[in-house]
Amino acid sequence: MIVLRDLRKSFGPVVAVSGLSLRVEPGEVFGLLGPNGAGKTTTLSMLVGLITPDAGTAEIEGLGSCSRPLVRASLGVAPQALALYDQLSARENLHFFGRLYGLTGTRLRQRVETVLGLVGLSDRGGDRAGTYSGGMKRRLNLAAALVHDPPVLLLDEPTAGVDPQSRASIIDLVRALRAEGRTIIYTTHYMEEAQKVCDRVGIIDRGALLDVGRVDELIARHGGSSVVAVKRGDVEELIETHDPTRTVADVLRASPDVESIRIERPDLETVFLSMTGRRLRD
Amino acid sequence: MNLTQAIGAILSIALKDLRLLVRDKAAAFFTFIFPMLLAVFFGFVFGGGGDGGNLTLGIVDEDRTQGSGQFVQDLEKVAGLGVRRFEAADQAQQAIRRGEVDAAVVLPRGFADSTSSVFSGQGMEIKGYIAPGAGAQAGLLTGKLTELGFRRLMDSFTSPRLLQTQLDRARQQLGQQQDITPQRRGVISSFLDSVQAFSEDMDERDRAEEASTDSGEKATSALGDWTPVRVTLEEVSRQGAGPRSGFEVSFPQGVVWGLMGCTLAFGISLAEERSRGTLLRLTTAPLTRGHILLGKAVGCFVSCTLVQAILIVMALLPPFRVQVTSPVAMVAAVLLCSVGFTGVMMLLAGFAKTETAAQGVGRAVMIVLALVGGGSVPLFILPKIVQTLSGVSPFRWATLLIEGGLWRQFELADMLLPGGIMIGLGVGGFALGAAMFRWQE
Repeated sequence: MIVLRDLRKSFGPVVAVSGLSLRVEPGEVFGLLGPNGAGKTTTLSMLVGLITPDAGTAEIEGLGSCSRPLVRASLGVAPQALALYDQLSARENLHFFGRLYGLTGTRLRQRVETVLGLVGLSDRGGDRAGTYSGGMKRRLNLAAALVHDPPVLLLDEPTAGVDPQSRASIIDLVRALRAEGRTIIYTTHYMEEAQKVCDRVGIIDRGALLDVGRVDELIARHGGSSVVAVKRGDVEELIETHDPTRTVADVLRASPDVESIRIERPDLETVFLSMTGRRLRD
Repeated sequence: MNLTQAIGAILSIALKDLRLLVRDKAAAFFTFIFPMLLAVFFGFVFGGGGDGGNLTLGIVDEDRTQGSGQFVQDLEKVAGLGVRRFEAADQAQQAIRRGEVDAAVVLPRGFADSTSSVFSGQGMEIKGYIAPGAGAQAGLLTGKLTELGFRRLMDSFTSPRLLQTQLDRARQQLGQQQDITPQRRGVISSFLDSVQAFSEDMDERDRAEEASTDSGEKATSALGDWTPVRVTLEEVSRQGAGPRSGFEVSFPQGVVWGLMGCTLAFGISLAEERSRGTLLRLTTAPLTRGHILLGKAVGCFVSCTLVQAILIVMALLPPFRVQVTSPVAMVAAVLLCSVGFTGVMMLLAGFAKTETAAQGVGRAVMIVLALVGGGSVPLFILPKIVQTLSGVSPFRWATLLIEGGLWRQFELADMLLPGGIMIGLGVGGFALGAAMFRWQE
């Protein structure tokens, strides 16, 4: 449904995105992961038409480029920054954003109440956004992306800086939106979160897409060995293995004095670090 | 998005911005309240209401009788009326043109006799002159002259000698009247005899009490449409008249600061939208960038118009009593200023690349332009060289337009230059500012 073809963008001598191609299927939650400065925001900006690519295309299949206002009507964007008016109430914010998409009257009021309910803010809908906690603002930011009921959502770090309760609520909401058949591009720095929510993940660094696939596929390709940690007395032995079950069985058979055994399987974070390195990017 | 939806979105952005402006206490204060305080403060500094809102009246006594002299003296005693005597009508008219007096009246020959001839004749018609746009003053003047006419009439009732003279004159005119039936002649003669008998029987104290203003009003109703004084006023245009009160200077200054408040509030709000991320949400909506900027422009235009309207309506009220000499010019001036300063707002937003720049440099530049443009020292008392230099300030042209609707009495030709500059600033400023505007941080 969302198709990026050989996207390229440079800012002076700095290459932000170099030849990025990607296809996100309808109803899929696609995680776009990468360190700071990898090119995620530039890619999303080109997708929503904020930045014109130097080369390549970004479009919603069947509708065309998102630089066209009509195509943008089918997109819901929750920016990383809390794009809200603090002096307006949650309801006023949502009414305003809804009107920008052509919603009016009863339909607008219904949608506003629906999304307030979805993000758990119905009771506080009349309060000014400036009085909200970080987690409530984050949820309202997501509600503003949903108010016009778009089939495609771009969620840029939707759980950044929120408490565990709000994060759990947002993750549940994203799952519910996927169940409704919406197509979602999701960027995050929380690998565990991506692992829970995303059907497929793309890892991007230095403007290039390094690999794309299901989480288990990426782990299999880039995660490396599992580690079996065996503790005997004060000593802990780490054994790298591709078959941890067999390794554990072998250890137990050979050493009856083992106090504890722990298996550390590679996860998405392992994959991410192995592909993008451990060097600081700030 | 069709045209209706586009207009709806533009108006939504404008409405949202107006709501944000009102809810931002500091911005609302500097946009709406501060200009009012400033206008009032400087108005008093510049001499407040000048003559206290009094009517200055020139008077020409062509009758030169004791009665007309008494009438002039009575006028001089009226509170709120400043009287200045002139020898001839054309001198009085010149004084109006020069702004030395607000109005003038001529007491013609035969004035004293006519105003006291209750039993005969049509009363006296007084020719008057008044400066244009002084409708309220015209009403006041007519009222005062009529009141004095009636007071003089009632004086004749309280004086047996005057009343006897009136009755004798009426009997003489009745005798000379040819086209009247004997029956009617008899009725009138009988009436005059009754009045004389009534006059002779009246107690002197009662008659003194009757000679009050209230009794004058009762007499008005008793006498039907008859009035001893009928006033017709003719407008005399003023030439190069200056402001009539300090408030006519200070309220245009208030408008300057109000326009600055609106321009800054909306210019800064665009920079804020960019830095806080809401601009990104606007640009990802199905709007063109033109729609977004138009929404801002409409909001700025409405707030500029609103702040000017509030100040001007306030100026009309007591105790300021500023006069709008040309309502059409005033409305045009307000709209032109709103157009011009919407362009200035867009220029500010285009030049200021960051919120800090808009808040700091933008505010500083605007304050300097406002000061040069007549925001603190009235333009017309600045030296010629400074007046010339002030041409770079859009506030100067706005001040000129607003003053044009108040005391400069602008006509279409006078408005062409400042109005053209405002339109140019509005259109050019919007286009240049929009071209320079940075959409992302």
